[in-house]
Amino acid sequence: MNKRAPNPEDSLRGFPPATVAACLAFRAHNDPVALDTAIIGIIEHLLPKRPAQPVGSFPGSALLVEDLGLDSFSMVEMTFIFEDVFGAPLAQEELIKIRTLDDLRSLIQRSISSNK
Amino acid sequence: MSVTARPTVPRAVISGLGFITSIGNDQSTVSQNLRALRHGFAPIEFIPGCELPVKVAGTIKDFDTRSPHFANWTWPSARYPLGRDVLRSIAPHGLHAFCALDQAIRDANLAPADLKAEDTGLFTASAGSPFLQRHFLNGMHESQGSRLQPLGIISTIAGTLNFNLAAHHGIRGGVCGFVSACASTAHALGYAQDEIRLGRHQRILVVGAEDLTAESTYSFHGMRVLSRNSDPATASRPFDRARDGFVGTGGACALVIEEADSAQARGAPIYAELLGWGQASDGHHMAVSDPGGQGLARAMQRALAASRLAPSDVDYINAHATSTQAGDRSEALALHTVFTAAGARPAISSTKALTGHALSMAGAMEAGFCALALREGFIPGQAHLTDPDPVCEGLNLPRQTLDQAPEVVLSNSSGFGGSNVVLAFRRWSPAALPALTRQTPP
Repeated sequence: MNKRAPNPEDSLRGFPPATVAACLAFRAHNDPVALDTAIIGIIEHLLPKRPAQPVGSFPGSALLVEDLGLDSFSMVEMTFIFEDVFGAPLAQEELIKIRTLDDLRSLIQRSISSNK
Repeated sequence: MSVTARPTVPRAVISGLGFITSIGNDQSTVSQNLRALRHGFAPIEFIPGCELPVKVAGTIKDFDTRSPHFANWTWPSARYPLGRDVLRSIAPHGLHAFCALDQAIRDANLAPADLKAEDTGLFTASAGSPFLQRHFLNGMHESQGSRLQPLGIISTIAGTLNFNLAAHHGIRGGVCGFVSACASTAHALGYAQDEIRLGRHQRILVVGAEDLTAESTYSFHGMRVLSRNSDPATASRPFDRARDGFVGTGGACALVIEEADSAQARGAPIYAELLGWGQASDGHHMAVSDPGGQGLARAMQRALAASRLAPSDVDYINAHATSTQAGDRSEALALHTVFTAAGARPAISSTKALTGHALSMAGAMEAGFCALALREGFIPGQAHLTDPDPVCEGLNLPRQTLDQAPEVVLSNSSGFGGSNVVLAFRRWSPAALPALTRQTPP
């Protein structure tokens, strides 16, 4: 059986239109602002509980689990979305090291760069 | 030596009800439709262009869960505001279950602290979600294992209701699932009564739910047990000579089974007392009822004995009859064995003529109907019966709803493998009940 190529629009089903638009804008133009909007929007949508303040208002040092409320299941889902949307595989050994929003941003940017 | 009084055995009552069913998504609508014998069937095609001769189902109105993606589901979300933290780990029937249990909790006037008490338990049953499981497993195969849904197991296996509802409500008493196919929630109710009477729990929330999908419904056509009748008005006709199979349905039903003093102290509505129950197996076949109905007859006799009732004490029996040739005949013979032979003629009807067969949730749903009949004082008639099967000769199958308050009601359930469960309910009276006719246990 051939491995099915992930369809980013399938993966983004149910996400807010602004997040989907940012993802598509990044895919089309490599716009770094769109990339950050997309990352923040994806995290915010996958949080089990709605945060008290928008994820975009947290500093880069915010802890993904303790401050934002991500759990291990939402981390797995998030990984699938990032891989499908940005075409950048995130290695498990790298993922387990990330703690903060900025760690995640760096990992995604490194992965995107190394896949160009 | 001093003699101490024997402690009173706690009495188990129904103190809360919730319905998401084909005949209504709230207690008032369900009651009206039961009395008026209005069915909940509609034409349905789970697979577009499907050539299967199965054309109707007991549909759940105001809910659309046809998509495997919860982001596409619609339901009365203003009444039941559920967030991603809940939705990400439930199947369609989990959504129904959350809504039905929410109704029952509000109805019973239970506070969050009551639910978190160490003597509040949760018993559930469902078949899981073959629909969602198929979706996730297809994804696993198509991605060669790289896309494994993290909460796929939690949302789809039998037990999914336990996992989700217990965590959401912080249940700290016993949590248990029941797997006896179409007798599952009747078993759950019976064992809930035991827990109350043994003094081990103050209350048990009992929840049954099922998906209504191609996977959960069409699969039964493989056994040729589904009706091929495309007319919603006659497709389900238990005990009728022309019956040709059951009509599928899904949804959810929730009941609060509680120690009577606790319910009364809180001012909860008390619908009925769960007096006792009985169970017995056919020992006959993995999927076909004992043709003579001996297992079900024994279960009814045990329920009567456990409740200290005689056949003549029973006013109404909510029959399991699903509208299959073999099953209804077997149940009619069991009813003759227990009641006709004793000279008793209780009113009998199968409300599956209105709802369809809800599989593992049927026992809970029909116990809920019995509770409404006892509290409101009516007996649902046998809908869609025009030409009774000759085997029913001598059974009292009223064609119309009776404006008559039953005192004692039985609810029958039977599942694959010949599991039979019978629940006995009595109209609630806070005073010590006068003794009914006593029967020697068989």
